[in-house]
Amino acid sequence: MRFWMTNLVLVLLILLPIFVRDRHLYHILIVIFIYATLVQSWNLPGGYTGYTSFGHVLFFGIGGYTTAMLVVFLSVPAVVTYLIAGVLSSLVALIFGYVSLRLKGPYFAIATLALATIGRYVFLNVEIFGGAEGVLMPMSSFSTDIEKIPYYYGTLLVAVLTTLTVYLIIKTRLGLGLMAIRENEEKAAGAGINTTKHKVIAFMVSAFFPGVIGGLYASYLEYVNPDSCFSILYSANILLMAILGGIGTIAGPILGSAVVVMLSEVFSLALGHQGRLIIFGLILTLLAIYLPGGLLSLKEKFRDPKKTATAFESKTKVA
Amino acid sequence: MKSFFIFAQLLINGVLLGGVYAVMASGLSLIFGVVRVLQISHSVLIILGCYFSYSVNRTLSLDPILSLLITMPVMFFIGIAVYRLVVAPLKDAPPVAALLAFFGLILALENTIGLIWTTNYNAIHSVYQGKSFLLSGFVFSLPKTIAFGMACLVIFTLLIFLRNTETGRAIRAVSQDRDTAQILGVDVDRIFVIVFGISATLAAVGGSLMGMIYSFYPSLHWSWLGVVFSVVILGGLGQVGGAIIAALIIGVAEILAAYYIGAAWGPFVAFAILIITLVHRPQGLLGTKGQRI
Repeated sequence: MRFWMTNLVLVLLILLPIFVRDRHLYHILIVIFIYATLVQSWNLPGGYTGYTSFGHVLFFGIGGYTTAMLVVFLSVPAVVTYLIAGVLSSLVALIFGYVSLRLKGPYFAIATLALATIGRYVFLNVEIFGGAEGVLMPMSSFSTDIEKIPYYYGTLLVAVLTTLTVYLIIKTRLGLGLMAIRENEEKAAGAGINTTKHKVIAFMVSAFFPGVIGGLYASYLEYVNPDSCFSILYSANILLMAILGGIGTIAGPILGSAVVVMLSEVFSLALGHQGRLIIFGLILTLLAIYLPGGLLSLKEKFRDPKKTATAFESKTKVA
Repeated sequence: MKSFFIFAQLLINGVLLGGVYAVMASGLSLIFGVVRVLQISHSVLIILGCYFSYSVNRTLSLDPILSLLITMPVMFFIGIAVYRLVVAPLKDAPPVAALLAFFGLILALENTIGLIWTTNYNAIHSVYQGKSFLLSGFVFSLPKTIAFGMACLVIFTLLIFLRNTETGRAIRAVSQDRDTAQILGVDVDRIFVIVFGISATLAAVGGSLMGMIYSFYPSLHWSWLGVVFSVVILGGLGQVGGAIIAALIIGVAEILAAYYIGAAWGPFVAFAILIITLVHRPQGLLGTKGQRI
C-alpha cells in the first residue's frame, strides 16, 4: 500500500511539467526537494546515529561555491561540478568528522555550529571568493517559461537518490551499527562495531548529497554569496524540518520539508520575514519540549498513548 | 622597538576586551557548572540585555552603567522565565532536545529584537564615548577602561557571592554533587531558578558593556556565541576561574588577529579556538586529563 502510494506520488511529480507551467509552483517544489535532500542527509548522523549537526549548511555552502568557482574560472560543465562538489563536501566531512566525532552529542553539535560559522568567515573574507557579493555565474540558456524545469527534475532526482541511499544504508549492517551507536556507544564498541569508521562513513554520506544539491542550487540561482550558501537559517530550517517530520525516520524529512516550506510561504506573506522566524523558533522550541517525535509520532500516540518513545527519545536515556 | 610598542598596546586592548568577555561568559559557565545544560541561547540573552540598556539609555538618557540598575532586574526575571518555560520541562529529555529548544529560542528572540529595534547598527551613548587617556605612553580608551573596571567589579562580586553567602554555598554544593546537596536539604530546583536568573543578569551586564564599546545589531550574537563558548570550554566547563583566564586569552588573541591578519578575522579566532579546544583539550586549560566530554 505504502509502496504504491510512494510510486504514484513520484510518477505524478515526474509528469507534472506536462500539465502545469506555473513558475512559482516549481520554485516552491525545488526548495522542498533541496530541503528534503538536506534533512534526509542530516538524518543519517543526526537521527540514526545520535550525532546532531547544527551546522549542516556548511556542506551545502561548500557545494555551492565549488560549482560556482569551477564553472566561472575553469569553465567545467555544470553537471560535472555537482559530483565534484559532493566529493569535496565528503572530504571535508571526513577530515572534520574524524577529529570531532569523538565528542559526545551536544559537544559535537556545538563543534558543527562553530565549523559552519568558520566556513562562512572563510568564504566571506578570502578574496578569491568575492567577499559579501560572492560570485556571479553565467546566465541560464533556457527560455524563461521552461528554465525551472531542468532544476525541478535535477533536485527531484537528488532528493530521491538521497532517500534511497539512506534507506538502503539503514537496512544494512552499516545502518544497524549506526543505530547501535545511537542506543549505547560503549556497548556498540564492545560488541565489535568499529564506531569511528561507522560514524565517519555516515557523516561523509550525509555531506555528499548536500554538496551536490548546493551545487545545483548555485546553478539555479546563477550566483553564490555567503548568505545564499552559509546562512544559519538553513541549519535552523533543517533542524525544524527534521524534528517536525520525525527524527530518525525516512518519511519524516520529506514530510517536514514539505510542511515547513509551505508554512514559510504562508507566514512570510502574513507576518513578514521576522514574524515568520519568530513563529518558527517558537515551534522548534515547543516541538523539542512537547513533541520530540514529530508529526509522525502523533499517529502512534493516538493508537497507544503510553508508547510514545521514538528513536529520538530513546536515544540518550541510556547514557 | 615600535613594533614592540604596538604589540604592548594591542595586549592592553585585548585584556580590556577580555574582561568584558569574562562577564559575558561567566553566566554560561555558572549554568553549565550547576545545571549541566549547554545554554546556547546565552548569547542572545546578552544581546537582549544590550538592547534593554540601549532603550533605557535612549529614553531616560541615563549613563549606561546606571541603566544597568534597570536592565539587570528585568533580565533576572527573563532568566527565570527561560528556566521555567524551557529548561525545567526538559529535565529528563536527552541533551540534544534541550539544544534544539534553545536553538528555537535563539531564532525567536533574535527576530523579536529585530522587529522591535530594527536590524540596523546601534550604539549606546555616554558622555565618555570616544574619549581616551594616556598612561605611560599607552592609549586607554575611556569606555573600554570603564567597561573593564565594571567587569572586574561584577566578577569580584560574583565570586564573593558564591564564596560567602548561604545561597552561594548552596549553589557550589549543587554544582559539586547535586544528589548529596539535595539530601542535605538544599532546594535544588530553587537553586536552578536562581542560577538562571543570575546568569541572565550577568548576560545583561556583559551585553551592556559590549554595547558601550562597539556598535551592535541583532544577529551579532552569533559571533558572541563563539566567544562565550570558546571561553567556557577553554576555561574548563563550569570553572569560573578558568573562564576568566580563557576570556583574557581570547580577548588578546582576537585583537592580535584583527591587527596582524585583518580586521574581519577577529571573530574567526574565537571559533577556531573553540574547535581546537573541543578536539584537543575538551577538559579545558585547568581541567584534569580524566574529564572527557
